[in-house]
Amino acid sequence: MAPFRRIGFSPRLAALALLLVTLLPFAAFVMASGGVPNGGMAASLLSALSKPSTRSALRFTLLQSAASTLLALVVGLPGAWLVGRFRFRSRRFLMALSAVPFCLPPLLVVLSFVAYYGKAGLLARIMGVFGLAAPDSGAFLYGFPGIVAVHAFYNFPLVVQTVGSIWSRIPPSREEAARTLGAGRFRAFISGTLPSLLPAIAQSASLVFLFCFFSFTVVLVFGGLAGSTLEVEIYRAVRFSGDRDTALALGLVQTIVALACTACFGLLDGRNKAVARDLGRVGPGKKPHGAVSVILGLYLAAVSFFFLGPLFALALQAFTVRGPGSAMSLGFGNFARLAGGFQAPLPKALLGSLATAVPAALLAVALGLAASISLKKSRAFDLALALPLAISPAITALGWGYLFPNGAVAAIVLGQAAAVWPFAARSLSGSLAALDRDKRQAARTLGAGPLRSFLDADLPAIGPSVAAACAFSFSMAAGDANVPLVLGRGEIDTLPLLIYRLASAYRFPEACAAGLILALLTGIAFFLKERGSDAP
Amino acid sequence: MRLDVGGLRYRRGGFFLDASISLESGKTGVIVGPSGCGKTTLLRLIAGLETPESGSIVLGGRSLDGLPPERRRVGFVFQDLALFDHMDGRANIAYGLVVRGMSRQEAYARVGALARSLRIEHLLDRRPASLSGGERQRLAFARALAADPDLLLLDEPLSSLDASLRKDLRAYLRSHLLSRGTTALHVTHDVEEALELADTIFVMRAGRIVASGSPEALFAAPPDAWTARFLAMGPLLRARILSGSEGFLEAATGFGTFRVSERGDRREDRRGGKRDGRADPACYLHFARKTAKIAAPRGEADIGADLREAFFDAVLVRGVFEGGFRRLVLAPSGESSETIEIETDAGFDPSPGEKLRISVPMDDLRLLSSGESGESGK
Repeated sequence: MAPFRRIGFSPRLAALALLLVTLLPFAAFVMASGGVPNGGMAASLLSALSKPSTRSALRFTLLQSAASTLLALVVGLPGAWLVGRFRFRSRRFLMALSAVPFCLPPLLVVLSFVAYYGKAGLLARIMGVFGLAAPDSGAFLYGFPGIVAVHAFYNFPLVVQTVGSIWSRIPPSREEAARTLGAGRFRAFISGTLPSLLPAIAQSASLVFLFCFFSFTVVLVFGGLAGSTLEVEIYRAVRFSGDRDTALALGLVQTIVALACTACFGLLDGRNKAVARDLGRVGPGKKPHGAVSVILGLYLAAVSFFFLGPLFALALQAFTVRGPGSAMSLGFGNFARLAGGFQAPLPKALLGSLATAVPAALLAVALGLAASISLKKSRAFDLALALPLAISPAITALGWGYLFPNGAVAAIVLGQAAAVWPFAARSLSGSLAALDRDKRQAARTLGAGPLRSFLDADLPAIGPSVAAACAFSFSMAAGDANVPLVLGRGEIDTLPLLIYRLASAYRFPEACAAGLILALLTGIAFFLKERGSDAP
Repeated sequence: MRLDVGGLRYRRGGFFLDASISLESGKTGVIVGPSGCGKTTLLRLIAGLETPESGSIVLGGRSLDGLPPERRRVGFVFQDLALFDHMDGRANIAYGLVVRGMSRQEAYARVGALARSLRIEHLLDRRPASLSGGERQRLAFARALAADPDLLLLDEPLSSLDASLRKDLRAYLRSHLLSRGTTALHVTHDVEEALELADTIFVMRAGRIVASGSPEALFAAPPDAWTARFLAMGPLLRARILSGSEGFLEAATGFGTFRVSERGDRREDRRGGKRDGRADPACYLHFARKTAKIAAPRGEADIGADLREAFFDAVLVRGVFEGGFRRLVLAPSGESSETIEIETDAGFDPSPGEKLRISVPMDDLRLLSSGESGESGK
């Protein structure tokens, strides 16, 4: 990355900063827990694994991640086929949904599922209008199926986007060649398309698995009866038992499993990129007709009903004001109470979110840029991106908390930046790799110095991606509930913390109103991401 | 196997295809035409990859109508070759045999024999990604031939190769199609390729076959100006017919007035449909590029004075040395924008602006309709 070196950028320093941001909080947590346990990490790990509670949490974490991944694939693959092979009006919308897991906070998804599928949710009310008795959704929502359903519907757009974009590049001629050579439809698909599709399917599956593996908010709210993930157990061990040793051991177990998963993801990501490179350009696709039109209609209806329905219910709930008795009306009462009501300091939470998310986003983009420039597209780059994904966000947040015992904002900012920067780096690396050396050299031959040629030739090329990465990182940081919850500092309030408190206090319409404000805040990235950057 | 395609109709958006072709058993037909004219669509309809609105496809007396692609016994070499990257060369070639139920062992034995005959044994253990463009093309050709199809369809398989490799592979394809007696239909927009491979050329335009015949027959009597221009058959001079009598037509062009023999067949076509003396932009005078000669200068132009030769004067715009010959670009005068091209000896090197007298055998002069209606050659 010659242009960056010329303006004073040091790749070694950048790599060192990345390593520090990734490993320093982990080391701080180990030290704060009394250092490396007697007998070493391995002994601590074995001891933790021998506990039934750890084994149970690990089993539950793996099981719910696997089930959620499977369901996300079942829901996502038909969508991937539709967006990959056909061109239709809502295709762009389906592809853009892939931003949802990054831009819509998990807490909001939980809220919207309760607002839609809950006992007093929108579906139950609609069924009531038609005189139908609503089924008891409590056992479904607040248990294993609820966790799996939320995870699957939260992550299936990733499958649609990742697999669909590869599917659109696979020439139909491969299947057609198999057909003319005597293969039936299914065998032609197996021979002509599936081999190129498999890396994308496996890559998206490993990413969804990883997200579900570290799931925190969804399991915290829905998993009470069914079980608990390692991430939630770490939170409980530190917050309620003060048992740092157990938290560290759980964190180690989690990191080892996650490292295997991220290594798998990195490998498949490489294979997938190689396949995409070999396949070349996106094909023109066909207009759906006949049976495909029917399937498309059913799929869009299902996505609207199951996926958009909860979000609509969240918005509706936000404007639903309870009157005397069971009377309900639409209005801004919930927002008014949030703005000035008892124990509901919306302005403070909003300012807190901005005060943490803005610097966290800027730091994440700076780290992402540093990673993309210093490590370029190499194995080191993939490793640098994979490592933060493998370390427990709870451990990282707690580590920053120990490093900044009197600075809640700094700890939250650093904790969130550490969680977000790998996504910012992935988002930026594409546009950095596409920088046109000829344009820069043309500027130099026309008399521009290193800085001027960088400003005139390179910056305009990467500017839109950097802006989009900033908005995208802001969305992820603003929607994050993990870090502030785990740190549990009273000095600062954020919107996700406020929503969690309101939901816990059964002030549901107000929680939805706050959720809507958060959704509007984070939703900005939904549009900006599509305009300026590669997929994260 | 003889191929008969009758009244095949297909519609997609604003595009409409309506084509009929017949191809003798063991012959190679080449479909030529501009981009987007429907060449590939016609092949895909024959292969069963698209569904026609109406029409029939009969191959060796067997109707293919309604059959799925896998039951048509039609081999297809795609433009992008569509090789299976996850299989080696042997598995690629054997694919059509294995999916039809042949044991892998037997299939591989047949692949070995085929590979020897096609001289591609060295490709059998390699994956397509490691092969050069020409090797990939040979592999795709072998894969399509392995199951011994009744008809082989080739959709511009040479288009992505460089010129010299394309030439080698044309010869390779021609010799193996001939030696195996495979009926083949080949699509290209390269006229040179069409001439080298074709027993029959089908000229396609806007979804219709506008001319067909052997290369020799088409060149001897181009059906219209559009076909002559597309196949680069020689100069075309915009003309208007002044009069006609005793088997001759008087045609005025930018290079002077020509007396053209009126032949018996398709007389109206050559007249451009009009003889009232008005300018007819749809009428063209044509002659073969190579039959034009540089004539000795005369005192004055006497076009048609010699009944066997027609003479006209032209100004040289530029001469281009093409190796074995020199291509001369000529205009009626220094100011005219209408130009024609003829070929002369490489050693003849006149200067731009020089006035030249050109002679063309009378028998080579033809009046052609424009062919813009798209159906004149049918």
